[in-house]
Amino acid sequence: MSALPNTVSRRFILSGFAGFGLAIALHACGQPERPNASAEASNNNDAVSPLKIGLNVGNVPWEYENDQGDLVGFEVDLVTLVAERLGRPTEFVDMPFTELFPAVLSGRVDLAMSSITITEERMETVDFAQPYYDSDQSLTVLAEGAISSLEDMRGKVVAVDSDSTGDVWVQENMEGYGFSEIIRYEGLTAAMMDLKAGQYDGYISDIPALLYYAKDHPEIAVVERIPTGEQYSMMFAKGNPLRDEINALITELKEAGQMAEIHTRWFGRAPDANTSTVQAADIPTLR
Amino acid sequence: MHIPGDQNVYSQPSRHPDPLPAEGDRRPHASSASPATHARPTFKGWKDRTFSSLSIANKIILGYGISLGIAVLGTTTGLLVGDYYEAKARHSQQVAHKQAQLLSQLQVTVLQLRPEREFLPSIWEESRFRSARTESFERLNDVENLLTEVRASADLQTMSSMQGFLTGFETEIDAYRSDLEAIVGGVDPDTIDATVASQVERQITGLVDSPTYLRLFRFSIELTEFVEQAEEESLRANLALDRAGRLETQIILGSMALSIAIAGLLSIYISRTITRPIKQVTAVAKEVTEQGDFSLRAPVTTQDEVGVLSVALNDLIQRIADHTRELRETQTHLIQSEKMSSLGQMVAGVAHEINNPVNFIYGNLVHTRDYTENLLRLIHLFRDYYPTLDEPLKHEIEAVDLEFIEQDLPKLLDSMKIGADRIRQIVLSLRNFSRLDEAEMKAVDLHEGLDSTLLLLSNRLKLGIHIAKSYGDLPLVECYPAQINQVFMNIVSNAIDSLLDCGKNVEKTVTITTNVRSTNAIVQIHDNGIGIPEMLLGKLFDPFFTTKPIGRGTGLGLAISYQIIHKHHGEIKVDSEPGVGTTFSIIIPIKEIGFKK
Ligand SMILES: Nc1ncnc2c1ncn2[C@@H]1O[C@H](COP(=O)(O)OP(=O)(O)OP(=O)(O)O)[C@@H](O)[C@H]1O
Ligand SMILES: [Mg+2]
Repeated sequence: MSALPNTVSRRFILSGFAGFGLAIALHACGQPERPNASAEASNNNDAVSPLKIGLNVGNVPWEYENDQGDLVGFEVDLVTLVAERLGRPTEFVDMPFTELFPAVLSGRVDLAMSSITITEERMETVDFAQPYYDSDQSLTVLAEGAISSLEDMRGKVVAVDSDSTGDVWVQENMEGYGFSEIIRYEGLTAAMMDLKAGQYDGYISDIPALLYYAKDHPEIAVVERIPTGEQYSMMFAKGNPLRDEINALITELKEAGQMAEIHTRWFGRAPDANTSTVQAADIPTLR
Repeated sequence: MHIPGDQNVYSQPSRHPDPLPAEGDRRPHASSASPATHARPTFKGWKDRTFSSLSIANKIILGYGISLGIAVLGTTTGLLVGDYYEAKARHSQQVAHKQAQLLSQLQVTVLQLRPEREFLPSIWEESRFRSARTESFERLNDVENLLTEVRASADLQTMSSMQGFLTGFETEIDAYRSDLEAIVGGVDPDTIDATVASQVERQITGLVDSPTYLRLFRFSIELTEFVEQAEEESLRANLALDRAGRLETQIILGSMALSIAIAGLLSIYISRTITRPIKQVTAVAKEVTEQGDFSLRAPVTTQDEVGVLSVALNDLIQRIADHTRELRETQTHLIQSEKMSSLGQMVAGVAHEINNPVNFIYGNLVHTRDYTENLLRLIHLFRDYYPTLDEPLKHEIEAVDLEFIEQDLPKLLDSMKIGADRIRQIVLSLRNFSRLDEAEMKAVDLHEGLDSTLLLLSNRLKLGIHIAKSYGDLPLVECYPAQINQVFMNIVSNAIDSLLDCGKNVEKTVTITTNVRSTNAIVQIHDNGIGIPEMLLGKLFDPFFTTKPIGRGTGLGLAISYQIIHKHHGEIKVDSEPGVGTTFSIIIPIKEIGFKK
């Protein structure tokens, strides 16, 4: 009986000390950790956080608003399948084509897609997944006009989408074809309106978009394919691990024939067997 | 000294292992009756040792010192920890703020790169063109410096995501710079003419329209994203700052509460450590005075004032115990010597009284025998000379059976002689036993003493008790023979008592064994009687301890025996098993020098 108070009080004091120390320790590790954790959660592709996709709406048939006002398109379908497989909801962010590059780099969007051609120059600053579409450039003019080929464009005003591969091709071939001037647009819609209004003579841009557009707009015509051997893919910030994850899913989609299905849905026919829409391809790397 | 680590010390007044101890007093003990306490080195033991060695004043000072120390320590810790996190939060806030500032500045500076505004108005004026060009490139340099600064200020978290962006941004700036350089770098302001001017004008317009410029513009707009991130970071740092303040308060309040709690507990603990020993000492003092149990001791758990008090009380108890014991010893001695002297005187008197008449008988028996023989011879002679007897005489001879008398008379005399001899022997033993007058040491044969003891007790031994002697080769032993005989007497009587009390159906035997071991003579007296319960073994030698009914036992026998053997510098030991038997061993030095009287 008499020995008891000793033990009890000592144990109490010790546990008191332990609690005190623990409190300090908890605060010590808990406190600075918290901002980190929340920052990581918001930055990282957390399972529940939406997959943010930057795209240039209006780029038919890749991503545009249909008559019902829904965002549709080849790439919208593709990324929807990818997001499903990742188990993440999608969040689309509409922006001008040129803004896609800084936006993936700043992390504002996880990836960008807008029939973006893989180029060496771009790969200096960004990463691409494997291509899913083989493309060329094309010349589009007024259906009723005098121009029926690139040769007819000598001394004429040419228009491009700013900073697109069409823009690059025109700059490189300015002299050769003797274009008098380049007008740059951001987005297909505005460019087409100006073409119809006669603001310039020919529009050089990716052939699938223009062919698709021309289907519904008989007043314009795609008159020449300019073979450039371009390939489209999704664009990521350099070193983003999401690229490899999604690349693997693209391979799966190609092997399952789902990619070909999307192609058929948007172009009315199955893709050629030897194109990157069917064949799984390597991740493009800098040469 | 008591060992504080031992729990018993706290729980109850300790019982001194030896009821009446004295210096040099080697009291006999049954082997089991010696409780031993050992210290175990424990933390509690260490703590108690350390704490108990402090004086009461120091204990109080220590207690309050500890709680005050905790309060001070807690407050200091709170302040330090709070300051640490506050400084950390403030630092990250500053970093974030600075970064936001730098980023905004970078954005503004890039957006000021407007070649059409910079160059077109000045293209026609040589000096303005020159300064416009310098300014434009300086602005570009500013942009690049700012970029480097942003890169340097970016902390590790935003670093990786920002790194790629800044690299892209830098590429765009370089592209813009080289494009601009291509347009205005080669122009010599002095030789600007209309064609050159319009060409520059066209090219500048083209640059503004070019993807290079557009990309630069997009990148600078995108900086907003990082500005926002930095602002968020700064906000978070602000929250952390708040938390640091709260943490500081919590720790300080917590440690205050803790120190108050500890102070409370300590005061309880200290008051207990002070009052408990006092209570214990008081309890012991009370018990000793009320019950006269001198085996009690106040526990000495501390070395403070209470400890000193306990030691003093224990000393006092010890002294009283010693005095009491001495008193009892003296008393025992008195009773004993009185008993012995009266018994001795009586025995001596009786022996003397009997001795004379017996000597009459014994001495006259020789003559009786001579006379009888003479008379018988005379009768035979008569017969030879007067062969024919008268009828009355003849008749009488037949009537008394003279022939038988003739044969039986010598035998009768023989047995009378034997009887007288026995009486003489008994008287001798009595005198031998009661040699109280012989106050001098003598070298005696212990066997002789044992035998005379047995002779004296022969009356009781007749009640069916068998004596088995196993005497060894004993030399003469220097001792007070009467006293040693008395010891034998006491122990053998106890053995007989025990055997008579015992209903066992075995041959009741007292076995007496003697032998020599080194310089000691050893006498062992064993009985197969009732035995002694273990709990009584420690008390056997206490004066007045007896289990016998009043009138039969005084409880002095063994006490006296003990004293006597002790006086002979010997030892007396008991070994017993209840129901089996008891052995008393008496060990006496054969030749002892320096006897005390
Ligand atoms: N051999 C023995 N067997 C059993 N008990 C014994 C024996 N010897 C002594 N005792 C016990 O020891 C007690 C003390 O013996 P002790 O001789 O001192 O006193 P006593 O015999 O009772 O009285 P007395 O003074 O008449 O001798 C006895 O009462 C008895 O209980
Ligand atoms: Mg006795």
